[in-house]
This record gives sequence, C-alpha cells and structure tokens, in this order.
Amino acid sequence: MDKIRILLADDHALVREGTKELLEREDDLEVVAEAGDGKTAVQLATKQRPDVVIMDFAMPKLNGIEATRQIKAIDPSIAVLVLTAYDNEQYIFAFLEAGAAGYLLKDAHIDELIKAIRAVHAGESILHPAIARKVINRFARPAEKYGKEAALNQLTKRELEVLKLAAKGMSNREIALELSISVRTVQTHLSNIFTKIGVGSRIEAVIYGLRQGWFTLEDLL
Amino acid sequence: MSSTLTPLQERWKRIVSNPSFWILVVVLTGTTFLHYCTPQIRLLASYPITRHAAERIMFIVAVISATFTFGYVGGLITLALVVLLMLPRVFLISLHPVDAFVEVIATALIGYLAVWMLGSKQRAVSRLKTINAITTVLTRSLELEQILNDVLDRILDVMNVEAGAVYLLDKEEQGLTLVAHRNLPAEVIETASGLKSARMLTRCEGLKYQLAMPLRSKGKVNGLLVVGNPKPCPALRREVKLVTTICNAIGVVVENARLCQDIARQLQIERCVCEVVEEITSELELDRVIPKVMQIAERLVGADGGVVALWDEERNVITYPYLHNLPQALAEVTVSEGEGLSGEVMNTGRPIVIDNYQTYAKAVPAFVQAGLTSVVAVPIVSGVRTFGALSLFSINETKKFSDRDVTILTAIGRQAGIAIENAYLYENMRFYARRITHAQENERQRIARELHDDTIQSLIVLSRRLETLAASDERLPEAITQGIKELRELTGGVIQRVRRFSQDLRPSILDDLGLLPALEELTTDLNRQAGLQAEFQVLGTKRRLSSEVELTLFRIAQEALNNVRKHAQATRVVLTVEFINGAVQMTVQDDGKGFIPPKLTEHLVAVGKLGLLGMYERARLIGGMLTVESAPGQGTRVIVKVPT
Amino acid sequence: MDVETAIETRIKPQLIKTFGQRRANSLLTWATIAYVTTNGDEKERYRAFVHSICSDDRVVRECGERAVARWEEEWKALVA
Repeated sequence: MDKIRILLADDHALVREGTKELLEREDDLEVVAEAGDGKTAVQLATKQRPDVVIMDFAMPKLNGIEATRQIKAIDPSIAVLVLTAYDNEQYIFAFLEAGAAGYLLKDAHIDELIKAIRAVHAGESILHPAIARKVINRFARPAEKYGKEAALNQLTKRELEVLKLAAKGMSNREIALELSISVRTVQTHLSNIFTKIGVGSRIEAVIYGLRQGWFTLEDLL
Repeated sequence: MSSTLTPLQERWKRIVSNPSFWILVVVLTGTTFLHYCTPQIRLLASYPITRHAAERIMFIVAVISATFTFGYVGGLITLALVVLLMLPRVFLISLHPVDAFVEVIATALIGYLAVWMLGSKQRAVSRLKTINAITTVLTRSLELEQILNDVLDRILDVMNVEAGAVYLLDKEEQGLTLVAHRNLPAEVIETASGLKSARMLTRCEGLKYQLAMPLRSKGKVNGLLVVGNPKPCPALRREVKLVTTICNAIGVVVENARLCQDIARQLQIERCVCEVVEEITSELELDRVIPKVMQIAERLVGADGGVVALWDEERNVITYPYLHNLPQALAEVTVSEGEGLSGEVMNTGRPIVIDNYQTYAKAVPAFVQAGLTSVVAVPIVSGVRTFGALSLFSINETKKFSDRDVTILTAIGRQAGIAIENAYLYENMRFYARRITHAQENERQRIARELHDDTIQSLIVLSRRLETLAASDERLPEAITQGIKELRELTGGVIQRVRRFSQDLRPSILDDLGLLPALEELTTDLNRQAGLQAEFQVLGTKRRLSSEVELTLFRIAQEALNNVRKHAQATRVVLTVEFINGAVQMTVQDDGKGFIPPKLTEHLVAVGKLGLLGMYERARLIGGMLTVESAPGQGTRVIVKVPT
Repeated sequence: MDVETAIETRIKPQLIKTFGQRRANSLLTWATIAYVTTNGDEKERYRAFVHSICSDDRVVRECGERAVARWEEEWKALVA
C-alpha cells in the first residue's frame, strides 16, 4: 500500500522535527518534505504534490490560510490540515473558506494527528459534529430552485445522495448502511465526487455543495 | 398762503385784534373826556380824592395795563400819549398852568416808573419763560440734530433774528460740523470744511449784526452758536446773558447726547469682545477660531479685511495662514523674522498703525500689490510668548484707525493668543496621546507575539517531548508514566492560560484573520458571556483595510461593547460595518438606558467619560470622526466613519 | 491777502509740517472758534485766530517763544 505522502510546514524547527519523528514511526505515513515558512510550503507542495499537508497556521512570509488558498489553487486534490493554536470559530471558518480539509489544535496528541491524517486521506470527516453543524449553518444558502437541479449537471444521483448524507454528518460506515452498499463503494463515490468538483476532502465537498445550493439546511435536518 | 405783510404790519394786526387794546382806547378816551369836562363832577364827595386826582390815577392805570399787555414799549407809547393828552389842558384851560404842568410831570414820572419796573419784571419773566421753553425742547429727546434745530428756531423767534447756525466740535477736536442752520446762504452750508464754513458765516451779509457764543459743558467748549440779522437788532446786545445761559444748556445736552452715543458704542464693543471670547473658549480648532475672530475684529473697527501672521518655529519663518478678503496666493508667502509689518509688531510687542501701506518702508511686496492702504497691526501674545500678529486693513484711503480701535484690537490679540496657546497645548496633548497609544499597542503586540511564538511554542515542544518520553520505552515503571502524564496535563493547562492571556492582550484573530472575523468574535463572545443579544452585520462589499485602521476600529468596537455590557443595561446590541465608497462606517447601537452626551468632545473629560474620549481620539488619529447619539431612555448609538 | 488764502497757503501748511495733520487740525479748530466768537471786524477776528494758535502752550513749548512770536508777527502781517 502506498504510504500517505505528507508535507510538514512549521516555522519552529524543533516542533517540525519532533512531529516528523513521531509520524515516521507509523508504517503508512511518509514525510516527503518540510517547509519553514508559507512560501516554501507552497513551492514544495507544487513540486512534490503530497497527499496531505500539515500546515502550521502562524508562519512567516505567508500565513497558513493564505498558503492553503494558494496550494488549493494549484492542486485542489491536496488535503490541507491546519495546525492552529486557536480553535476559535472564526479561525475554523477562515480555514475552511480557504479550502482546508480540517484543523487540529497544536497541542493535540500525536495520535490525534495520525488519526486525522488517515481519516482525511480516506475522505472521512474530522470535524467535531458540533463544529460541523456550525459550518453547515454558516455556508448553507436559502433554498433555490435551480441549485438542486444544477447538482445533477456535475454529479450522479447516487453521488449526490452520498454527499448529502455526508453533509448530514454520517460516517462512511453509516452511509454504507443507509444506502445498502459497501464502505468501499462509498469511498469510491466520495473519491469521484472529490475529483469531479475539484476538492481534496469531505468537508470541502460539503461546503461546495452547500454553496452551490445543492442541498439546504432543511435537507440536512 | 403767502403773507405780503411786513413784520410791522403783522404786529399791528396782532395788537388791533387784542381786546385789551380796545379797552385801553376806551379808558383813555373816557379819562381824557373827563379831564377836559368843565363841569366839575364831584365824585366820591365824602373822600378826599379830587376829580383831577382820579383822572390822573385812571391815566396811570391805563399806562400800567398797557405795559402789562403790550410790554415795555407799549407802556412807553401809552405814557407818551397820556402826557400829550394832558398837556393841552395845561396850556389852554388850566387856571394855574405851572401847577398843572408840575402835575403832568409828576404823573409822567410816576407813569414811567411804573412802566420801567413792570417792564423789567416782565422781561425777566419772559426770559425765564424762554429758558423754560428751550430747556423743555432740549430735554425732550436725545436726537441731537432734531433738538438743535428746534432750539435754534426758538432762539431766532425769541430774539427776533433771521438767521442762525449751530456748529458742534468734532471728536478729538479735529474740526467743526454744521449741525443746525436757518436761512444761511448756500455756500456756507455746502462747504466741506466746518471751520471754513464758520469763518464764512461771520462775513455773511445776512448776519451782518451777529452774536456768536461757544456752547459749553462743565466749562469745556463743545460747539458754537451763531445768530444774526442783516439789520441792526437791539435784542442781540441786550439778551447776551440769556443767550449765554441757553448756550450752556445746549452744551450740556450735547455732551449728554455724546456720552450716550459713546456708551452705546462701548456696549456694542464689549458685546463683540464677549463674542470673541466665547468663540475662542468654545473651540479648540484653530482653523475655526481664528477666521471667526478676524471677522469679529473687522466688524468692530470697520476694516475691509485682515490677515493673521504666525511664527513657524520649525521653519523659522513668518507665514500667513489666515487671510480674509485677500488673494489666497498670499498664504504661500513667507518672510523671515522681523520682516514686514507683522514681523515688526512681533519683535516690538507693540501695536502699529500705518496710514499708507503703499509707502511703508518694510512693506511686503505681495501685500503692497493687494492694494492695502490703512493698516493696523497688533501682536498676538499669551503670557510671554508671541505667536504672531493680527493685522486689519482698509483699501479706502480716507479710513483712519483710531486709538480706540488699537485698544480693542490689542485686547482681541491677547484673546487670540490664549486661543492659540490652548490649541497648541491641546495639540501637544493629542500628539502625546497618539504616541502613547502607539507605544502601548506595539508593546501589547510584542508581548502577545512573544507569548505565542516563543512561550507557547516552547510549551508545546515540551508537551511533545513528554509524549515522546512516555511512548519511548514501555518498560518504564507505572509511577513514572503516571508522572509524565500529569506533567503533560499541567503543561496543557499552562498553555491554555498563557494563550488566554495573550488573546486578551492582543487578539490574534484581528492580526491573523482581519477586522470582520474579529468583530464577529466580539459579538459572539458578548452573546455567550453577558447574555446580551448581540448581532453583527456587514453591509456593502467587504474589503481589507490598513492594519492601523482595522486595529483602531477593533479597539473602538471593543470599548463600545464594553460600555454596553457595563453601563447600558441593554438587551440587544447591533454592531454594523458598512463599506461605502472611499470610507467605512461602523455603528454600535444598543437599546439601553442612554445618557446625555456633552455638546463638545472636549467636555467628555469633564464628565468623566474617558472611554468615549479615547474612542474619539483613536478615530481622529486615523483621520476619522466619531459621533455619539444618545438620549435618556432611548438607547445609544456610537458611529465611527473613517476614510479609506 | 484775504483770511482764507492766508490760512490755506501759509498757516495750515506750516502747522501740518511742524505738528502733523491731527494736531494741526486741533489748533485750527480752536483758532476758528476764537475767530468766530470775537467781536469786531475781520481783521480783529483774524488776529484772534492767529493769537489762539501762537499762545497754545504746547506750541510755545515745542517751538520756542522766539519762533512762535515770529510766526505771530509774520502771519498777522499777511492780512492787512
């Protein structure tokens, strides 16, 4: 199995080293590049095309949010995980608007980080349900007739169903059960969705759907 | 109706229409008849009065009554008539002509005595009546011209004179002015110079026989009265005392009227100076105060325009930043110390009056071109510092600035000095406030940053290291792993606390994400903590602003929301940010108890609302304006508008 | 010459030159008052006029008795 290719971006060398050491202990994780500032992070991401980028929010030259935006512009399939000192709502919204796949607190346990990397790579949500709810509230648009119809221009009916259930907060397993398909199928669907709409993670896809008006708050209750 | 009668005919007409005249005629005729009647009618036989005596008494009575009715002259005429009537009897009828003649003489003498005494008394009474009448006119009003004309008429009437004039002494003894006149030749009236006019008057044919008296008040001369007749007029010589008394009365009235005018003018000046003081103390904005003060000063002295010159300490030159009714280009002119009229005034510290700026040695060419003629300049001082000079000018050559003008302007100059000093002090204070605010923010930011970058990071590293430690060797004793776990928790706790502290100092949302997320966070926080219904809304197209503007707006919002939380007793507060063309407007509106905002922001200090003053000053520092709208029971609205 | 000419051409200019416009005006005013209120003919009035100026305290003090006396003589002689 391919290792998950990771780019570490953090301006504190000590922190980077510590994290790298801990990550590389895992068999399925591989740190392919390290960056000490935002600009370098974007450059290396462009060159190396990692699967996941672990990005410290506060970095010189270019801050985490801006770097995320740029990386997403270059390659939307890259999933960016922001490490932040604050889990303040405003930060979360800002990260997600920039295209991050999720965020983690900087002092989180290394296990959480590892788990998050794996989950994101598998297309799973890593947001706490309460936060997810807030995100949906924020990005949801009022019901629009054409929104829902337009969805089918880009996704198949099945894919839309999967996305909707993902937006509701269900895990891959729950979706599989709901639609009577295998988890693997769900993962494939999600993967296709990501590619079709040009995103790198579940939450990005959900936000995209919300923004386009493919489903509304009522649909997700 | 034109009267073709001469004065004599007029008088005759008056006499004839007087009934007393006819009674007199009857009495005289009767008495004469009795006098010449041969039959000796014995009247009043029991009394020792002879008939002749009775007739003589009747004659004298007639003379006396004539004096009463027709005056001294009338009395004399009647006396003459009586003597004439009595004489024929002396020479023709009387048996003892010598005795009879002596009787006639006696009668005549007695008659004359009576006439003379009565005449004098009458004249005295008539003089008093005249003075009375004139005094009444004089005290009727303070309309000087009206009074003087009326009085002149009376005098001419009383003295039977044809022409007259009243001249008043000009202010500061610079000449005479013709104020009232009757029957004067045109050339006298129309001469521009009062002095020449007065001199000409003395040579007039119409006043060949004249009387000229000075008008006095408290011994000081303040005018001239000249009355005259083309023909000889005895009254002129006779009534000198009367005229003198009248002239004194007039003099006093003139002085009173002048004093009243002076008082009125003084009051008006004081009112203007009060206006100046009020303007100055109600404003600290020099750009608003100085022009207003200049305009008031111009009004007070009747100038056409003015300029305020100020000493620029930095560049070591005199500049002319405030101009009124002068070409704006003059604002660019600068001169060195001591140059120009302003320079001279600033150096000497004394006011200067220039009659003709065009010929003034130290004139600044640019101002000469502007066409100034009369100029008065006073220094603007406060304490020992001279800030500049206030100059007022006229383009009218005949305009002269008086000593009083200088006195008023000097007082205004002092007031202007105080205003400028206050403005400088205030400006200094604001400058320091600005510096302190900057320093404070920088320091906060520095500390927050250090805490965040250095301290917290180190703590995180510590935490990770502990993790590594715990995970490294599974053969560690339970106690140690437990200990490490506890250390990690402790570290976690420290990180939290330091983080919170750092946030309070300088919220990173503001630096990292910008103003809008930071404001949204403020309102969310308010919702959570204070139980207020706080809303945040954005109008217009979002855009990022300069970090200084974003920080200032954030701090103002922070302070405003703090106020709402602490004082307003509100249930709902709305924070709105509106992006408009070239500016951004932020409004904090609550439905709390409100208050009465002071009229001027400078008074915020006085009413203890330092928070508001701070907000006001912060807004000003970035070129914006802060307004507070509030009324008791009607909530409060704080509005900040900043150009971007 | 006549009174007005004398005043205009000789007396007034001299006063203005020596004392300035303001003081000259003041002196001429008092002189005129003397002129008008003097009983007598033109010549007597004129003499009173000149005398008023030349007996003013400040004039004498500032110009000296001799100079002032000379003026008086000179001016009085102007009008026959």
